[in-house]
Amino acid sequence: MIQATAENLRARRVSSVELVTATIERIDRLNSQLGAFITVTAEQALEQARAADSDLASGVDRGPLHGIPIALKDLFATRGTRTTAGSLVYKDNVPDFDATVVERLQAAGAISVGKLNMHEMAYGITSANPHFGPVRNPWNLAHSPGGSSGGSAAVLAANIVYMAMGTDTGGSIRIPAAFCGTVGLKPTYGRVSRHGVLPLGYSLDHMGPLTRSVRDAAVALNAIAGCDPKDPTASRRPVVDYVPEEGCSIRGLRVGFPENFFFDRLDPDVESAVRGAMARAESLGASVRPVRQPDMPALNAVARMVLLAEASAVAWSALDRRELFGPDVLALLDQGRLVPAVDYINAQRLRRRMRREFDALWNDVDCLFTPTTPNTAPKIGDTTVRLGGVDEDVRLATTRLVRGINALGYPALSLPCGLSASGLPIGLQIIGPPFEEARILRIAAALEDNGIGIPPCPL
Amino acid sequence: MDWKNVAQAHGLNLPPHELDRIAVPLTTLAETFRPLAQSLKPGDEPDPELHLTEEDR
Repeated sequence: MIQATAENLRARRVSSVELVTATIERIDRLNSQLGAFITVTAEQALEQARAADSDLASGVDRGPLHGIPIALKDLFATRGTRTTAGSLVYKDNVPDFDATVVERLQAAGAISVGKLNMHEMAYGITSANPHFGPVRNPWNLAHSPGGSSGGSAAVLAANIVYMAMGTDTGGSIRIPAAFCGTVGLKPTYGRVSRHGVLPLGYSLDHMGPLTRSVRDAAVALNAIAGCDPKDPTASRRPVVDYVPEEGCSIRGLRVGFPENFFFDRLDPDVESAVRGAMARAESLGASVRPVRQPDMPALNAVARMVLLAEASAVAWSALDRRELFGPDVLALLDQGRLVPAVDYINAQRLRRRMRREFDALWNDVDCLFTPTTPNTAPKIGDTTVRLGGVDEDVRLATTRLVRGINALGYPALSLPCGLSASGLPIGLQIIGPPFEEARILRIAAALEDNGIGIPPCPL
Repeated sequence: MDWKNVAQAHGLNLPPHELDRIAVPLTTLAETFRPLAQSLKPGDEPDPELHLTEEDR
């Protein structure tokens, strides 16, 4: 979609001003229903679009994102534009610098039309923001879009922008991507700079794109990936071209199918759709083989312990102003301030040991296929979900299959793979070894090219 | 661990239902986490910056 639009821009079949104008009109029409934007930067976007058109006309071509409307989760610092983190703590925060990701997207010619609503401080999965209003799922406005990057997924599903940036500390890109039927890519830890993004968990935060197609996610990753001296955890490993070639094949690829944990207590529609995607991969020549995962509940416990402590450390200076926080976030921050230092350090020790155990999986398979979430999007306000005859806390259930991957730092992508009987999207999670984003994008593109996907959202 | 006492020791003087929102999840998490930590050996070091490859160390 981005590549086709880029061709249209270069052939003068459409202008960036026309694209941005149509985007703003759609925001005006839909945002009151979706609650997806906190700030719309229409004038600035139109000014940039005029410059983009002028550049193209004079032969300055910044690549496939040149002149393309995008949006940013309101966690990415934007010079001169308020960056709230969906929080009252930052409601008047106007940065005097751009996050590295924002700089890189601007250098690639992308045009941001605004800042997106999200779960408060990125600390939750519903995006029912108590200060800026709930984000609603375009597939069914009574349902949550997931979170924390709920606005990012909602504007993709509603066909408002071509790409939206999200962040993922315990599933916050992949969950909303699954619930809203978009592609969501969490790159390897260190692949995309964290500089200028308000942290939630320093050692768990990942930045990545949400898009309507796999190749759009690859185009976005091409623009944002790479070393950054402003982020000490950014990898020095060279980037590659992440865009899968047309007609890419997965013949001979070894797909791991987890025998344990990932298929426990699933919504039957989710299980059916994910198994269907696995069968499709097999029909395309992939070798699907069963694998036994190391201890995922233990990994999830480690990830939760790390996040509790790191998030409360981030928010520490504001914690005495309790009225600034919504009740769910405040409860988590209170929990984190009580975690003993010994538990935090032991969690980081366990994490390293577990990563060695999980790394051994890559000797036997090239990727793993799992559901992204065990459930489809819950209704706004639901606090529990019933799965396999068990009532689970909706946050713990929804993060069950994604949270541990943040502790491992592996790249993972959520690909729409079906709709439930009630018409809500379902996501397939494709997990790969560190820095193998190109591989998981190729696998996802092959599936997408061969019929795995969902129809456009009717909104 | 009595998380309610710990909370109060940290100056969190909250109504009982709010203390439950803190203590119950922490108790559940500790039940899973603490036995794992028992298995750690002194040479198991933390990696809080999560360097995934040797070249990035």
